[in-house]
Amino acid sequence: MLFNSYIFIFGFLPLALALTYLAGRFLQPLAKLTLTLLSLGFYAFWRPVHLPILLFSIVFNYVVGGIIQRAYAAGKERTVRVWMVLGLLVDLSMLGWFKYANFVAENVASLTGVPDPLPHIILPLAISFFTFQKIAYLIDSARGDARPMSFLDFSLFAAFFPQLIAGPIVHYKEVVPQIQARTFGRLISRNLLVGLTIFAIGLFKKTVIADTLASQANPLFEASGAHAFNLASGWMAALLYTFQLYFDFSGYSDMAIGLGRMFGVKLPLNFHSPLRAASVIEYWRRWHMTLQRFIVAYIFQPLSVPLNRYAAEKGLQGWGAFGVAVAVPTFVTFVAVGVWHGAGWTFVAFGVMHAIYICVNEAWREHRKRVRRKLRKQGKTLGEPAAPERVSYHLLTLLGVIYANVMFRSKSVGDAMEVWAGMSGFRGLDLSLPAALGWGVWSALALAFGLVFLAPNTQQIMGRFDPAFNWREWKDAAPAPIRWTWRPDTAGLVFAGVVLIAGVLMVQRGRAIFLYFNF
Amino acid sequence: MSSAEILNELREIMIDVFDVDDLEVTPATTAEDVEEWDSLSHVRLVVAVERKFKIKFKNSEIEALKSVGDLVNLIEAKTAA
Repeated sequence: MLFNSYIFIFGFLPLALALTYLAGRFLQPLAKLTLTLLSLGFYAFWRPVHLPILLFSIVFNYVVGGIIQRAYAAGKERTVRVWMVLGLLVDLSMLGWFKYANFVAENVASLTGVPDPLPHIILPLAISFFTFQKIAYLIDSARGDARPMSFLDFSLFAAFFPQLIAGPIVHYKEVVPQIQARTFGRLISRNLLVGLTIFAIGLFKKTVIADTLASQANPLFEASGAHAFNLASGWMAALLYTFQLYFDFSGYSDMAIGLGRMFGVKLPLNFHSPLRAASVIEYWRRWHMTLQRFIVAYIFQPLSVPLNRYAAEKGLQGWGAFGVAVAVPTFVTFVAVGVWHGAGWTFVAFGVMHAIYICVNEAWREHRKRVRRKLRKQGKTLGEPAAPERVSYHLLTLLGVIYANVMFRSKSVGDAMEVWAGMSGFRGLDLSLPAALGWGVWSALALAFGLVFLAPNTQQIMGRFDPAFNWREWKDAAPAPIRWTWRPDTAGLVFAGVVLIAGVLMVQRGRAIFLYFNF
Repeated sequence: MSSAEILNELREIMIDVFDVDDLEVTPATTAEDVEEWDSLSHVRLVVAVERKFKIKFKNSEIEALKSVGDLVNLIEAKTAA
């Protein structure tokens, strides 16, 4: 079931709210059970055959997590480690089989010439997301950050439908205390109103903006090969898709956060105006934040710490130290980020591109550091960059992101190169656009531009109502040129109503799937 | 070493790692207060602290660090042992 469908908005959601809060009036565990069963139904609605995979993941990780937690409490370090490794192996094997087996087999077959023995394996919806949640849970258990809980609480934590399909990827300590709180299952009208408004903004971002951009971007990308990209159509495709991707996934994440809030659970943020970042390092701190922190905590840091120690012990200096301590962990991390999105060489290339960006960014910071040191010895200080320099940082970041997104979107590396060739002027300076792109494309682009660069983001709009689990960490970051905060007064209610109605009306243009459902 | 001394040493290391001209550090200081403090520089900070105090942190300890105070406590516990 899609969040942007009538059956969800007018059927499932009101029913789920009514049943959960009705049950909550009698008995809290009944509310939890109701919401858990509804969440499983929500998942099964898509493709019932995959429900057993989700159920297995829940039961298996509950059992293994419990063993790890008890061993941790008893101080048995070896048992903790053995079960954690075993649990991670099973989780990763499941993900590996469903997501990467075909890709590996195809590449092996084309290298060796032996026919590919595997049938086409259908990717179970949300497996990348719910597997990562479980991995985080097992590691949290092994570190003493997760405590034993009832199977019902765990099932709700794992299946809670707002975050089940495409995140945010949550940790035990974020969600479980909230569903174990005494107020859970009790109707609080403020949560309902704030949640619905956040949901409405997300729906608007998806159906009004992202789907409009998609309707213009898709024909351009799908026709690749059929027509040559020129300077204008290359840039048009790249820009449309970059904005589409942002509004699609950040709109989805807003909807998830809004839905969670309607049930009294605050989820963590997933986006914080990443396209306004002044560096690619900053961009990744604000783009798909719950995936990023997962990767940093469980891949980047465990890899980077020993490599930094090694570099320090060997007394490595300059580029040697940079290569060992920065470049190696960055490349491994971003290739992992790339292939997490899917098994394909385009995703590998996307990861490699961002790894290069991060290394350049880091080398530039090192360079500034050296300059500053030199100046300090002369008693001077390096001033903050002037406006033109700051603008150039923003533009360069965007440029890098846009070029990489072309790779992310394209069906093959070759297709992406065609778009790049057009964008880079290798196909001449032809500025004609395909006739199919009407005036609508300009208004959609202008709206997207305005919202991205001038308007406050969803959580800034809702800033008075503690809109997300980790809002406090982000409330002062990246303020928008236009400042406006929502209040439940006439203007606020009109805003919520207009956004919701526009979002709902646009649903009927075709229930377009969210881009991140493919990952 | 007292925690005040550790805090002072730590401030020196942080000024060097984050490359800032001066830094006001209290036990309550977190990564949000220091612009240059991100996951890349965090690793460098941790390794610099390890070398200075001749101790070693576990991954889970590094990740659990939320503030300068946490780091001071951890250093105190490890150097006392």
